[in-house]
Amino acid sequence: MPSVRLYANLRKLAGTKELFIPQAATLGDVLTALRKRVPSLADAVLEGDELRPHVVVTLNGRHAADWNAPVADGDVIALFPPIAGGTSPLTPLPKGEKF
Amino acid sequence: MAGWSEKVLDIDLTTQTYKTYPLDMEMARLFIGGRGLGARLLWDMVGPEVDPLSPENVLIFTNGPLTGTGYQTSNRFSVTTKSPLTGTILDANSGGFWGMQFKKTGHDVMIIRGRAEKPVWIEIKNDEIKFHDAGELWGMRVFALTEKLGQNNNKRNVLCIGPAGENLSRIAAIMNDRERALARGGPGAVMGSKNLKAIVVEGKDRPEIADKDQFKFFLYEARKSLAQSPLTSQALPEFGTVVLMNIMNNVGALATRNHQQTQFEGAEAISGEELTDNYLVKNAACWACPIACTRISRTEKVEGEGPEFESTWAFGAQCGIADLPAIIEANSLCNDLGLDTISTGSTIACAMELSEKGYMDSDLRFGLADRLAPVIETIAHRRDIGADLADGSLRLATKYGHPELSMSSKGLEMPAYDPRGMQGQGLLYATSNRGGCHMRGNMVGPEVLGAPKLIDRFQVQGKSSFVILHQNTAAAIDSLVLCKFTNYGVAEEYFARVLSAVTGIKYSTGDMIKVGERVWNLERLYNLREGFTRKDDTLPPRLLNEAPADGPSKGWVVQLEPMLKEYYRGRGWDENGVPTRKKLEELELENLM
Repeated sequence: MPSVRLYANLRKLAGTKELFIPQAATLGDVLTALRKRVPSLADAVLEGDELRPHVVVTLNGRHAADWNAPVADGDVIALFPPIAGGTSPLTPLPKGEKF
Repeated sequence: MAGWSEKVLDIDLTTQTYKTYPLDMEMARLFIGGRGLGARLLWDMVGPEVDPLSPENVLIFTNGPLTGTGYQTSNRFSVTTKSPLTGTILDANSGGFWGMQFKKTGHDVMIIRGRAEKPVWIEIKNDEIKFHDAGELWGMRVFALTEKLGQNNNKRNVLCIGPAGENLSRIAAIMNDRERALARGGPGAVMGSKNLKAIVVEGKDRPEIADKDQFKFFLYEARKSLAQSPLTSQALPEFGTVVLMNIMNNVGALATRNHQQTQFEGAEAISGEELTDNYLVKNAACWACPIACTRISRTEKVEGEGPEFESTWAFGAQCGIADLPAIIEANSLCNDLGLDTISTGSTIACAMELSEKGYMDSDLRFGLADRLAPVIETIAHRRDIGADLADGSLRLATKYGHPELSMSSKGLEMPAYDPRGMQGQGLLYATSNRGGCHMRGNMVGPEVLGAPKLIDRFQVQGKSSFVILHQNTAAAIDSLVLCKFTNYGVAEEYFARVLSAVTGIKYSTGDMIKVGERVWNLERLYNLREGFTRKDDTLPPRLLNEAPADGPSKGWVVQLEPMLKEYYRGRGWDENGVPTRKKLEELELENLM
């Protein structure tokens, strides 16, 4: 079955580093299962059916945004809350202002 | 004029004399301060004939018009010089308290020339400048020296070199406020070559602000934005920069064992989560910083600042070491000896690979945590194996006949992000004016973290425009001088607005980005004058030819050539990477041709 690995403060919300999700055929199924099992965790990463800003989801190390993407036994889904480091991310400019 | 003190302090160590004179305010308008002003001054002072470790090289310390005003992160300052590691133009900037105190002495710029006959240290109390004998201090380590010279965070601040700078290690840092560093490119060796052990500052001036009401408003707005952003209010304070370890490993862009792999099986053991759970004592902050990303960590042997992500990576994944206490201790040792942690870790990793492959006769091997501290000591004192490692990985690998094993660009060791999994980062490293560096812009935001928006990290076409924008923005922020982490919470427009409020000169966001572009082009001109060419805009052959065998970046190498062509066009340079006359006129740099 696919597993969900959690990072940073998501571990405290779930009380674990990793969750195993049985009977999930798509990434969307995984997130639905998470919503049922650990509602506070789902609230931290989702706003309705959309990811909250700066939340990163990867499927086997590749960024994932398509909830219909199929998942299989042994697949690893990683969930990262907003994290930062490095430098100069560029914040969006107000409407109408251009460089 | 508000913002600037309009005063340059010019010190000649050879004669142990000094003079002050007015800052060229037209130059200040065009280059602001910090990195930009330093680059413009260096252009006039240090040409291609100057050896970086000769008395003719200079150290130019600069602050900016926002420094010391109390605006968020207005604590930073720069040093500009010709790098003894790379031969390029070099600026490094640092946080803490020293920059704020330097500004309070009433100077925008301090130039250090010449070479003292015997070791000295300098004490600056506004217009009172004293030269002191440093004979008894020579050989002292940074922590003890900082305390001895009277470090008091809000009143008196110490900047110094450790044994690494004295011994002219080309990867030596200048340290300030005990554990902050002007780290990259070897400025500590330049200071050591001048027989200058320390500069202590005590100031009493309050920076003048043109429009105090506007300034207070932007201060309030910026504080609100930083408090609202989950990145600056939660992510950075809670886990520090080391939180990047797991995500970089997860996506297969964590350089491992001298870039032989892109994932490290020990990443979790050296992660921000592990550091926070088991070694964090408390957070700390630079002056006027509400983010407080600094970690104070403790092992059985040491307690102190750090380690940051890059340092943890350099002694960790890059050396194949998953022992976090050993990494924390290596970081602390580098701070005490005055060494750049990124270059030190990556040079040790290079020696490990040279030794494992039989090119070099040493007992260094990937994964041997107990070898870290002893080899760092030898580097700082240039003894035994350290005599080879003290000059960085490129000179080391060249000596043993395999320069391709130096993971550097233009001779500067690259940081943690493996660009085979981040194409834009590869272009960024290859074109960085001070060599392989993540502080001249960084594509980790858009290519991995989704800040401000996620883009395809493997895409090549169109990537150069992101890189150019990041580089120009970084150069502008470095010229203010502010911490780039504010950019995770505060939009660029605030930089222009607060600069206008402080100086009384109207700057738009476009003006600020143009300042950044001007600085970038000036640095490029400097390197071209030094003899660098298009062929130097490159990466180690490993990153161009050896694809990872597994993991999420499997099969990818950096597609540099097409990105580079697009980049030169986007910058308005010719096919050889030389800025065109039209571009220089647009940037008011035509008189430098």
